[in-house]
Amino acid sequence: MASETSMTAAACETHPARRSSLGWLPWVVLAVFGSVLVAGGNFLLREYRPNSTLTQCLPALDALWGFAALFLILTGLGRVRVLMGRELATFFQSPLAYILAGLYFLITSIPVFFSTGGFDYVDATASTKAIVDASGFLMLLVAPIVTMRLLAEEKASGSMEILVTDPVTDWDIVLGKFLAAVLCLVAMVLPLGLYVVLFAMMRKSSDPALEWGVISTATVGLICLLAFYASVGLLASALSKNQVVSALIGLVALFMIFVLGVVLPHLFSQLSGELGPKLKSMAEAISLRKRLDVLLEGQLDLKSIFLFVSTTVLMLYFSVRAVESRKWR
Amino acid sequence: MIEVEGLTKRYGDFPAIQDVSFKVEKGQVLGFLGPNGSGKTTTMRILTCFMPATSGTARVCGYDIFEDSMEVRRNIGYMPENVPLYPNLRVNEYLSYRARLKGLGRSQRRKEIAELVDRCSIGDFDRVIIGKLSKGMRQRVGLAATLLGGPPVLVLDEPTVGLDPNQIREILGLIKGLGGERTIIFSSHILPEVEMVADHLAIIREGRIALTGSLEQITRAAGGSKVRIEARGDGQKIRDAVEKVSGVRKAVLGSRDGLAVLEVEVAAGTDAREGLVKAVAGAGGGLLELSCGRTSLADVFVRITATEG
Ligand SMILES: Nc1ncnc2c1ncn2[C@@H]1O[C@H](COP(=O)(O)OP(=O)(O)OP(=O)(O)O)[C@@H](O)[C@H]1O
Ligand SMILES: [Mg+2]
Repeated sequence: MASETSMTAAACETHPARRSSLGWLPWVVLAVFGSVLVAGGNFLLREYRPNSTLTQCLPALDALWGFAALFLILTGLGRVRVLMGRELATFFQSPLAYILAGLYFLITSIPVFFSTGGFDYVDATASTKAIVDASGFLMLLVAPIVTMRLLAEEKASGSMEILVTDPVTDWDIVLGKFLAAVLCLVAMVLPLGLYVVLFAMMRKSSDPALEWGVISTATVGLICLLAFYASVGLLASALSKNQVVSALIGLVALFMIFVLGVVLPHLFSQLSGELGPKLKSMAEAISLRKRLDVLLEGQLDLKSIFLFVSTTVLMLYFSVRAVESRKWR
Repeated sequence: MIEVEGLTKRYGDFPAIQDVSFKVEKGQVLGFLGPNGSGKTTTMRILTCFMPATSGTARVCGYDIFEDSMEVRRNIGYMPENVPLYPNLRVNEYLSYRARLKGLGRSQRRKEIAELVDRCSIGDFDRVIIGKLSKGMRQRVGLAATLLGGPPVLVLDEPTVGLDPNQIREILGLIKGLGGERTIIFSSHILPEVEMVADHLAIIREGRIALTGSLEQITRAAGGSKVRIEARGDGQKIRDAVEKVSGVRKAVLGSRDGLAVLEVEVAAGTDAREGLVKAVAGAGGGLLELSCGRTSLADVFVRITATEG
């Protein structure tokens, strides 16, 4: 064979495709613009209305905006957006999503019912707590079902091969799927917000007080919780080709995390001597359940949020490694 | 355009490919030929950065597949075996999704999708849900998606598997039409398919490249020729004489209507005809017929993939 001089990148005509490179701009502009508005709002409220309810809720609202801005910026990454879009379309096409959402609404209505003395009076604060509290439980079951197919299906059908050989990074894939899963879970909880809105509107002076501070931090706690559950479910989906197996892995993992968070502090509190309380407070510090309870108290505890966010990021990192694992097997 | 050097991939202890090297120049169509389990898919997966090799290097468009994985993937269109698509999407949704993943802007996306729907004869099926398509149509959708963004290099893993003869002809026609403009590697274990489309060939066997080169080079170099001799006389004696002629690899004796018929295999690059005529005469035979035939590519393929080793 004729041996040619080795080709260089320059000698090789690059792909003729014009690529849209500014797709991220509107999203980032939106995030930055929104942040400026939020910062301005913060300042004005603190300065001129230091005692209004809205001002009391500011830390939680800022945190919520923080999540939204993060979401906007990640969505701005074109490839993440595309992957997320396909995932969402697939999710909302499946009847499973609606069945799950319906069941979720019905089952969570029970604690809401009890939180208002059997709809005897309206109590938006207590119902919000009840919803978030119940979600901590129920999502243990639902999140793994929502996330089970994310990566497992791609691997089983072979479309993973196309996905990872297209010009996207493993982080793009994981983030796209993660954001889609979080949006799905949020969409499933959203109808329950109707109770809170209705109750807040129907409140009479004889009803229990409306504590917007608690409602807002509880919402932050809920989003932290959903994101964390989604990330664990996604990791589980990355570990198996079989959707049922990955749902089970996710379920067991979430259940263990939950049980440990409740059981460990309790166990340690039984220990005699000095060690007991020390271990107990350590176990509580990393117990996601306890962290959620803190947020439900109406206190925007940054440590709690940090714990949720960092464990979520860790799960996403492991998911990326699991996607990469095809390379060393 | 594509330079592969000493690629080796082990799954655990099992070497799926060993020391695979070949080269594809710009505009060439390389048929990557080998029996089942010989390592075609493995090689292609490494080239397309699906997984790394255990050792060895490869460059696509001048980019190293390990160091510049993103650039390599931008420049390659890869269609895996069995064309896994998303069955819940419509054809145009899928194409649009892949186009956006590849970073095509809106107007270019529309233009290219319309072009490719036409070029791959997808026609009216562009709004059908993929799960309802026939295998052949799915294959075309897969090919169209692979072509999106105009990658200069195409890697197609068994693009014709599972299709009926007409569909095979159409897909092959499409691939042939892309040659020259794109650099293509496509795998197959069916030789006639490869002969129809490829101008170059790499035959892989048990994870090793057994042969590479252009079609003519291969038939010439490894093929040699066949000579058929019909003679009157003592067949056994004639055969012994013929086997002594230089360049003759093997002679098989048969008979027809009382005549001795010899199928003689002659090594490549030698012309043994004169020697054969003399040998027949020397053995006291009366030469009635001597005909020469090129060994076909099929003989080469069968010999390389089946008998050796
Ligand atoms: N993930 C894997 N783990 C272990 N062995 C594997 C793996 N993938 C492939 N192999 C082995 O590597 C060898 C080469 O496989 P490969 O899929 O590359 O063959 P192929 O030439 O594409 O075959 P076919 O024509 O059947 O598609 C086979 O013996 C196969 O069993
Ligand atoms: Mg194969």
